[in-house]
Amino acid sequence: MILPDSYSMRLATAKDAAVLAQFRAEMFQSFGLIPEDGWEACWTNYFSNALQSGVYWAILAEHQAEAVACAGLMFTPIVPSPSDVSGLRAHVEGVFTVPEHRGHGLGEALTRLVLEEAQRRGIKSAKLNTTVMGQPLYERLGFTPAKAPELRLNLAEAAL
Amino acid sequence: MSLPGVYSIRLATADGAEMIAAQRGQMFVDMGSMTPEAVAQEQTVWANWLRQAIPAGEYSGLLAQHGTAVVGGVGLLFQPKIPSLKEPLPQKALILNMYVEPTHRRQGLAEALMQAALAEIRARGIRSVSLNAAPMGRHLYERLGFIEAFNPEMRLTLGEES
Repeated sequence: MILPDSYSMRLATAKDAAVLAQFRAEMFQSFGLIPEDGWEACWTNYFSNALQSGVYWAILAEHQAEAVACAGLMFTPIVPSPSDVSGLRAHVEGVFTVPEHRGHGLGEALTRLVLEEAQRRGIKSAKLNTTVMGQPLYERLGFTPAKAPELRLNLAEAAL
Repeated sequence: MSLPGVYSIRLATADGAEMIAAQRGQMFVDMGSMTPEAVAQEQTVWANWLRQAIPAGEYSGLLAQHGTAVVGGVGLLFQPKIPSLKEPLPQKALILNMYVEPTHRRQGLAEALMQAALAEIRARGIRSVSLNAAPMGRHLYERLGFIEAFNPEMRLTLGEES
């Protein structure tokens, strides 16, 4: 799938760290979550380092030379198997489109590019977390709910 | 809940690789997600990987013993995450390979293994923990405070997408 007319895409570099941080904050807000104070410096710093070191890989869609959507890729260790000796799973992260540019398939197109990049690296499986809103998009790409549902615990909050 | 005195929990070394691979296989068989034949084909790859992943610190294993016999275990994988101010460490822990031999169930071993795993995670300064729950373990995980993610996990085998 190629991007719709008037949009172009490019790889994110460390110079895009502030934009990725901004999009991440807006994504949290769209879930009804308020990013904690200081998020801007924390995430800009993280993305800048992680893009440089290769811990994070991201792609941006632009409209009139302005970034309007992004999708990211992280690499999660897994137990290898004979059919997948890579020992890594692609973790699709931070798929976001600014509200004015939604409905043009940008999220789907960028997610496909992320999955292609993962395949190019020899990775055989992918995961992501999505709200109900994003689910149909990922189902179109072939994603299915994890057979054993993911449960989470935050030890900073847990009273054990 | 305290563990009956005949049981103890210890950290696995590389020598435990075969044992952990066997437990992982039996776990999948018990869950009905793999046949014993399928497990037999995978187990050597798991064990070979564990033999280097344990000393490398990529995988931590906890083993439950009854006397000197290993009768259960649980594992930890450390995965990258985007940090936040509250959690500056860019790492989270995945709990996997939870297994207790049938004759040693219902004595609190799984809970003791989970508590030991959580203590190990805390000691590393990691705060975010996740696991993929089989129905049998779900009640225990919820009792320990685990909750379903508001944004559930989806998976894809690459090469099969349309």
